[in-house]
Amino acid sequence: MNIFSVSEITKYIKELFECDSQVANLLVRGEISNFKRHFSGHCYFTLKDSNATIKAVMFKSRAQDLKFEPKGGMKVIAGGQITVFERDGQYQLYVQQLVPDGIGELSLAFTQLKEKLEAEGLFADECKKKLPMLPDTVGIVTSATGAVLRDIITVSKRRHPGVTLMLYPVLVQGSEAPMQIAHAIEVFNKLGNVDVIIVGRGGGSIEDLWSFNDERVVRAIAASVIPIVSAVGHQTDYTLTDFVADRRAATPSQAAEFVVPDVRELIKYVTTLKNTLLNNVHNLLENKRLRVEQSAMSRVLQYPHEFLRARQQMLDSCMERLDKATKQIVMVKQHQFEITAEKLAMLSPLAVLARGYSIVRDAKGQLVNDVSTTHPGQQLEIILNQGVIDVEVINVQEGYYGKNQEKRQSRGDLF
Amino acid sequence: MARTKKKDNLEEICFEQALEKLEVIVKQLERGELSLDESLGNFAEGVNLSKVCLNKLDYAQKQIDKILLEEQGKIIEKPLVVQEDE
Repeated sequence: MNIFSVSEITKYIKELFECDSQVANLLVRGEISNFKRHFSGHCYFTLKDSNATIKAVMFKSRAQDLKFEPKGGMKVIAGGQITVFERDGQYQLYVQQLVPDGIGELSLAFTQLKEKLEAEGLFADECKKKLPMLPDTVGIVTSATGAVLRDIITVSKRRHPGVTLMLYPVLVQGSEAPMQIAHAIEVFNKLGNVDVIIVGRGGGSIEDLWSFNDERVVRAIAASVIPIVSAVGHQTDYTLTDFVADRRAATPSQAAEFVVPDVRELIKYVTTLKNTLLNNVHNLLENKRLRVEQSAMSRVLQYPHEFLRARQQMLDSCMERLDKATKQIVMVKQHQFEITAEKLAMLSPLAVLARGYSIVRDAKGQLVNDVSTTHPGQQLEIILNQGVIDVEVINVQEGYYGKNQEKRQSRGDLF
Repeated sequence: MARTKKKDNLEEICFEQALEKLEVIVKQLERGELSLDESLGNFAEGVNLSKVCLNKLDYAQKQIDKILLEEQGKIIEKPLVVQEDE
């Protein structure tokens, strides 16, 4: 016979548990006892009935989502897997979902399906479609009888009498209902004859509303390209249809309010916009017209001659100034010329000769301005006023200026 | 029909788009940044858009509501008559 170590045999037993699909995923109904929430957040308890007990553990990751506080004595349904905790040699239930038993299996199934579909992203905000502002036609998926349809019709027509409603009648409870509801949504999508769909039913027990938690319905809504508003049960009831719908209404009347706009309000708004437009353009044109008028009224355009006259006057005055200035310049120049001419006349050698001076040149025509360069018998030419005389030098006296000059000098000495 | 394909045509434009365009035009005109020609062009478009919007809001013509029924796999439309509770 084989001898096992404790570890080996425990491992073997654990594998037996894990091979069994029955205990890999199961629901257990029982009463909680010895409930302890460890400071780590994990919960440990025992499930029991009159004849047996089973250890259970719920880890923090699951326990933190519990919508109620488990307590000893509470009847519950726990969902999860049974396997062996090797250290203690103990098999126990690893709880994934835990619901009070009073609410029943439906609630657990709800929680499980919700988690599954949520993980698939069916409820994500990115998937929500915008409702049309003004639908032509509204599809309705509900019972042909009952208050829901009447409420939707009443509210819709009150808000927009011109809206068309199109009902696809379905059963809203019972085993046939989910298929019919899903099918109705598919038909509207296939026909493409409505802009938005309201899916709903009136209040009832959780069992009555159950069709709206059906996976087929939820998936049909998720697949719809037409926006869908849910209105299931009362304000406090939440079904998976509400989570997956593009918008959740608390009541059928509210669904109609979401879907159908108050047409009078819209008319008022559009009319206001139109009037603003008219006023704006009127003001704009008036403004431009005033500017044109102002320009047309200007003096320049009104009395163009005045403008010309002023210019003429300016021109005249300029011409006059030009004339004056020119004359002035001529006068000044003439005067300057006269003075210069006079100066010139004064400087003329002829004028000097006229005052009694004379010029002496030798035979070669060289100017003689120093007595020392002359000698007796030399032929010279003296230029006087009115003519020339040819002379011969008789005597040369240096430093002597003649008789007249002598007299003047002696007189000068007296002073 | 609701979901016919959009054409670039004022008659085919949906209410929401028409209203959005109209709002943009009104804002532009209010800011007064456009030339006179542009303003008048926008104005004409705006008036047309407001007409389109108001036409779509016209509820004078009452619509007949319908009920869809399937008979032997065929979908037929019939006028909707609200039944009282059973």
